[in-house]
Amino acid sequence: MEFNSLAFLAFFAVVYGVYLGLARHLRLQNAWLLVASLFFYGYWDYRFLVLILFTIGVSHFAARAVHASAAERTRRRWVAGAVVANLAVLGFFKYYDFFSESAAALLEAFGMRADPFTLQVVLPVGISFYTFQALSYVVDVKRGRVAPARSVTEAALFISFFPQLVAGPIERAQSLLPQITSPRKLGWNAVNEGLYLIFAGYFKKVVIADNLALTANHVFSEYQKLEGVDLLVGILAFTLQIYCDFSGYSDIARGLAKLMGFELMVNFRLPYFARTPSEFWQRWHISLSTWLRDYLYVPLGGNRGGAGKTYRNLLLTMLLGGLWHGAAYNFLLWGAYHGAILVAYRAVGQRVAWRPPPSGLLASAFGAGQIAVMFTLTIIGWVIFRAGSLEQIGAMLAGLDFGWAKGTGKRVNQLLMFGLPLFLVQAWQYERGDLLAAPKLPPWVVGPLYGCMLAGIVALATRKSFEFIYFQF
Amino acid sequence: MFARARPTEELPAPARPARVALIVALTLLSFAVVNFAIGRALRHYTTNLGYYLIAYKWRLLLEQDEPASWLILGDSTCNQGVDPDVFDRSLRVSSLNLCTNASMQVLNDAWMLQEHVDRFGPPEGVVVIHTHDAWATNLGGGGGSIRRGPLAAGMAQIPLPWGFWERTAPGLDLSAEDERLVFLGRYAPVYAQNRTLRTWARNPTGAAARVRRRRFEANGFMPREASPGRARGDAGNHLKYVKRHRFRVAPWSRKALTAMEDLAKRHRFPLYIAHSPIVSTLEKQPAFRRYAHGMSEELERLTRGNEYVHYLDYWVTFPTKDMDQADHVSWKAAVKFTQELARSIQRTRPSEAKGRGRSK
Repeated sequence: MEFNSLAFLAFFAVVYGVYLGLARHLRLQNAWLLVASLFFYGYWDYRFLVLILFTIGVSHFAARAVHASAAERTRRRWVAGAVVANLAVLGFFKYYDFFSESAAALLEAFGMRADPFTLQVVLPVGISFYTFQALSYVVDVKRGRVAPARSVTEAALFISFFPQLVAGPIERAQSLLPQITSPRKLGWNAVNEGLYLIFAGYFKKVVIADNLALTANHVFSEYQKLEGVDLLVGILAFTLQIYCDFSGYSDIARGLAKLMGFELMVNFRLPYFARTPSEFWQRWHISLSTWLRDYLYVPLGGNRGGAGKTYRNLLLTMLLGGLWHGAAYNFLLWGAYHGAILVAYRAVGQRVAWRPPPSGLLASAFGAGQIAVMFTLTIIGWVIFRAGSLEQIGAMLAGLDFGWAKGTGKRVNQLLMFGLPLFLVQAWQYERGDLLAAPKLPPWVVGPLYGCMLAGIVALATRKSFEFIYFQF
Repeated sequence: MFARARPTEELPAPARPARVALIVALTLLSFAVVNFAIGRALRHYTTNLGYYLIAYKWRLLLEQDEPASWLILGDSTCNQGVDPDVFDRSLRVSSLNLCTNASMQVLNDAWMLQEHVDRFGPPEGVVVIHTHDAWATNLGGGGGSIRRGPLAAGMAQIPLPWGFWERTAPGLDLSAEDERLVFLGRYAPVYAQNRTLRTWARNPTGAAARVRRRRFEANGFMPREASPGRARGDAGNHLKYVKRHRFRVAPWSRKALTAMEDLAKRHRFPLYIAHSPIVSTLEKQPAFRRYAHGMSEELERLTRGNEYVHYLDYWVTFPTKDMDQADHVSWKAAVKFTQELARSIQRTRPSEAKGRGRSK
């Protein structure tokens, strides 16, 4: 059940109505949300429920056991057991076929014949998201940052809360669990903000991402026949598509949660305005980048062991971050690429003393230049991410020039039509330093703005909508 | 603005209930305004030729200052096949081409004729022209209700009060799904015409060109250029169809024909049923001839016994170079087709009627 379906709107209307009706009964409210969340997940495929229930069971009982045990060794064993069990499920469903095929290919390279034994495993939606959320829960209990849930219902709701279940944000127990265990207060501020996030999220997903997907899909599938500006437009279209698709989902998830009195973490902060790779990762998929930082980069040693080890840790973290996105070499390569530019910026930054102009036009131009360079690096990354082969990456990047063909104008128009308004709004948000600048405008501006967005959503929806991209991860 | 890196936060957006209520109310109001404005704009700028055609022809019918004496009804084959100027010169009458398209079936002819009679009195003559499969296409519902989306979508473009399909003959009992389609088509153009709106958003120059290319004459005739390649391909499809089917007038077409026959009898005006033009390569095919023979027999049988109804059982054929589709002629061929139609009508008219009628 995708957010951009009528089934979901009907589902949410029923869930929300009953939820408000149970306002004074926290336990019943939580139980109702859990039933709704499991129904939401099972709506894709009821067999997936077995997996999520397994993850819930393992994580809950491991967390309680960790909490109950005083012996460090026992606590470690419980954590290790939970990590292994959860990663085994994730690994099997997400990576089995990939590794099987890769091993066969490797053996073949050494002259040994081995047919890959693939199972054509169906990837359960959102498994990477809820597995990481469950892992952080057990680890945080071990680290003493949070107490385990009092009941299995609370733990289950923490892992399966439907707004963020299939595409994040990947929540932390210390943030979400207390909101589950304590009575929630529905405030008008949250409704005001939630409405904005929902409208903005649907607009980004349904209007911008789905429409630019048509352009991006065409260019990436026909790249051999296209060149010049057409390729650039396709790459930029995908750059905006993936951002609007994913951040749109996060916005909707956070907006729905706000309407129910929950506060989920901000997952995107205008990432294409970043000036450096590290700033990019503070603005893009923040819930994943901070997860990787806290549960991988820091345990690996972070930046505590000198430059060499820091670079190694960065590269390893980004490689695994790439692999998190899927079982394919292009994701690994994309992770390595981001690791490399993180290392490069860090290395250059430590050796060259930057002295940016303090203020004025020159400072603005310098800042804009930094953003432009980082944006260029980012879109190269998206070519790696999206392309099906090394040959395609090379051909698309080498084919970029100012060549203008028949049909280019149409594609440029499509990019501008959907991309330019987004850029203008985000530049304004960036200037204000406030992602919620829009809902603070006067009601006579906000209301018509929402009305126009709603008309856009209704009119420009591709109807047979594309799947949200990040459900695949 | 880019002088320094800015931390971008979500700063709380305080609100009181009144503010939220006002925003929600203004959202709904502005959506309604946008929807209405888009509906008005789409009357002229829709890229959906079918929708435009239906609405245009109905407005032509309803907004006549001086009622036409002859009505030409039918589908798109006569929309671009019958030129009222030629028709009027040949028969010394005044006529309107009110033909729409095949999705409206024969039902639309009956509704238009009824509306004309109610508003302006009976015409002096009516011609109904449909391609072969328009007569044969069933509405699918059986037992009084229809479930065909295209017809419902087309009905939404008819500028008559809600529920007109129940009050006119033959009356329809729309299924709930079809009523929903008619409702959305009439009152929610933002939803119903999403393809047009997406075309405008994604390719405005292409959409503008499509709107510019659309040309209707004041008498309803839509002249089109020939497109032999398309006609050849379309002829193949027609051939496949006639090979697979035996002609039968669909129940709803029969009801519509009966309603028109009743009007003709009651108000004593002649009703002519004619075939669409056809590409000669198709007409020569034994399968088509077999199918056409069955069509002649059945239409002859249905129209027999009413002295006001005349079935013009002949086919006017054209070479591919004169066709836009297998049964759609270019504007040049439309002249010949219309002259042929006028001649055959002339042959059936009593001598005193010849030369009668108003000229425009």
